[in-house]
Amino acid sequence: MLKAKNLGKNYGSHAALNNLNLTIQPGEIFALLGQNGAGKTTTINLFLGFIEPSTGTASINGISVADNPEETKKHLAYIPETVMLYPNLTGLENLEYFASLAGFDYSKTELYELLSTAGLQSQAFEKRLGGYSKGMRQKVGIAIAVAKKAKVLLLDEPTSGLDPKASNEFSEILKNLAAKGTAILMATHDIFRAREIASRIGIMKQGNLESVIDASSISANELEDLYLKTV
Amino acid sequence: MIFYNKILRLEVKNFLLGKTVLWGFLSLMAFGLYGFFHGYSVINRQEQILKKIPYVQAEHIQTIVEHGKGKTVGSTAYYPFFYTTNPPSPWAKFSIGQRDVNPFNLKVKMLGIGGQLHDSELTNPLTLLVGNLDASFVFIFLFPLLIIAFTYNTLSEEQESGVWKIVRISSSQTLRVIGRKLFIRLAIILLTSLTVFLAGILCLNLPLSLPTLRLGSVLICYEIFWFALALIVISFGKSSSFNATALVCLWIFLCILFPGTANIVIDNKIPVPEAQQTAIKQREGYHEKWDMPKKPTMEKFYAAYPQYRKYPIPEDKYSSGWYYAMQYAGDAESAESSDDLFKKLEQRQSLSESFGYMNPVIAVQQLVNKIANTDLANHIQYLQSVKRHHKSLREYFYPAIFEETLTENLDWNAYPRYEPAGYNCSSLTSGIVSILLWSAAILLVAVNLFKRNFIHITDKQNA
Repeated sequence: MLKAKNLGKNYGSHAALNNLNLTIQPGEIFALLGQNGAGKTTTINLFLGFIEPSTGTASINGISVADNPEETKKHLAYIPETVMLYPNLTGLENLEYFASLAGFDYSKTELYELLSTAGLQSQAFEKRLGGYSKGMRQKVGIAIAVAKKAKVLLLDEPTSGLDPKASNEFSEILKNLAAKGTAILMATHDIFRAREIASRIGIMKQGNLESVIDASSISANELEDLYLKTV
Repeated sequence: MIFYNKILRLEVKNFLLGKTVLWGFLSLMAFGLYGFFHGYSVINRQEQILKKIPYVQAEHIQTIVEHGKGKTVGSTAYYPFFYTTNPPSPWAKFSIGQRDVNPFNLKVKMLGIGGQLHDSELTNPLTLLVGNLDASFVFIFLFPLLIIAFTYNTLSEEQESGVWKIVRISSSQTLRVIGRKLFIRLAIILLTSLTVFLAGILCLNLPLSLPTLRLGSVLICYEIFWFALALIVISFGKSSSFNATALVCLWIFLCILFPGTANIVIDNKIPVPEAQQTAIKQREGYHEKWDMPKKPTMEKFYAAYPQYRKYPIPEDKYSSGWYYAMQYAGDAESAESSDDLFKKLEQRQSLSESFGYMNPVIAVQQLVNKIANTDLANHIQYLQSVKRHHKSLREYFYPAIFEETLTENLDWNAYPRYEPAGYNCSSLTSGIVSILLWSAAILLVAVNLFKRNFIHITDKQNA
């Protein structure tokens, strides 16, 4: 479970995030929409422990990220906009490396399975990552996240730059993870994708969470109108 | 343990597959091999010359004696050269040091030693400027560049590309991850160094003895110093380009600017006009005696060698005893400036050792040259031994000269032969302490900076 309580981040006099209060339950996908600079990535970074909050707390499964960042990492997986891994290693080796870093010892068969589940073509497993497309790297990123068996998944514009097919596959994987009880927070610009996979959608503007909508209660067009009015 | 082995294997593979590593290693091996070849060819040439000397000497003496038959020893002794040699140690091939500048053999005559001692071949100043690309050059000047190439982007490259974010989230012990990356780099640097060093031992046929071990240990310490220096720079968490620029600037400062400035300081602080003065004083001391009464010249000689007072020296005509006494007087009059010259050379050596305390590059260069017996101290020892040998040669011929023995009646095989001093490695303690202290201090600062800056580094990159 993810919880933000009065969470805020200031850079000098500029408030990147204001008084965010949010709870994401296990199995829930929460999509954050908003323009560039609205505070989406700041929210993700605060949950990741990459930056320290100026006010309030971000907690993962009841543990404060700021107080115990190393402990909260154990429950977290993260997929950035562009998954950058080690280009000299193969996709399989990258997965093995990051899974080992997280303390998981997978057999080769299990690693193959993880990559297949993430949608990577088997002929790419043993090829160097340097030759992968963005979509292929993204899939290895998913496999790494899944391999960690994390209870919380944070995604920062994960479908940006992916072709529609890859984007669809990605959405399916997220839904599956949520169905298994993973709490997912996803920052995105893709209104339609957010509407399709998220349980709830938050619209952010200038560091404030302006509105939270139940995704099932709104059509894609209505969501677009609301988004445009809000931002 | 399983995780550790897996991670280590993959980290090593990832690092080794980088282009920098392969090209760095290949370049260093190529330079290393050239360095071995250069050191070998310079020293081998000297060894070949030195090998011929006994034959040349014997032939030369035989010719002189043949021509001197029927004449007195005093007349004949004017002509022969007596060779002295400073053979290279086996480690000179590794570090040529000053052996290409200073003479490795000197042929001295029975005349005044002052002018002969500093007689050497003219050296092309361009060659001196470029220096020798021997094995020690590869280790002292090129290896730090390889260390820079291996380390400058240790963390920054991953931060810049974005991999570091995933690493941070994947591992709850990020300091350990950094430590492992640095350890791999250090291990590969040391392994490369050991490979090049072992290749050097094989190519240069270095004996597996204490000096070789010392040489290897000093170079390992030196590499740890450079690694620690690189660690300090990367601990500030700046970009790869900043790290590379800062490290190359440090290299230029420590390897070029500092030693160059130190050299200028030494030249200005301890000028050595005595080298020229000694030759002039000796020449003047000897030449003016031709126009002076013989008695004062002879008195100077008798003060050192009273046993020859009994031999008459005619005031109105030339005599060999007087001639060699004039040569002796020339040396006696230039003795003070000659001693001053040696003192100043020793002062220079000592001052440059003091600079070694401030700059490990200088300290290591001095240590390596000391181990190889190719430093200034070795040359000074050689010159002093030539002086002593010249004195013993004179003393061998003086009785025959004063007794006016005929050339054929002197045993020309019994003159004292020059015995080279052999390998003599003076104390290395100060240099080794200097490099060890520097390495330890820099390493300590680097580790502390890393710990202190670590949070700052990661926050900055991810903000």
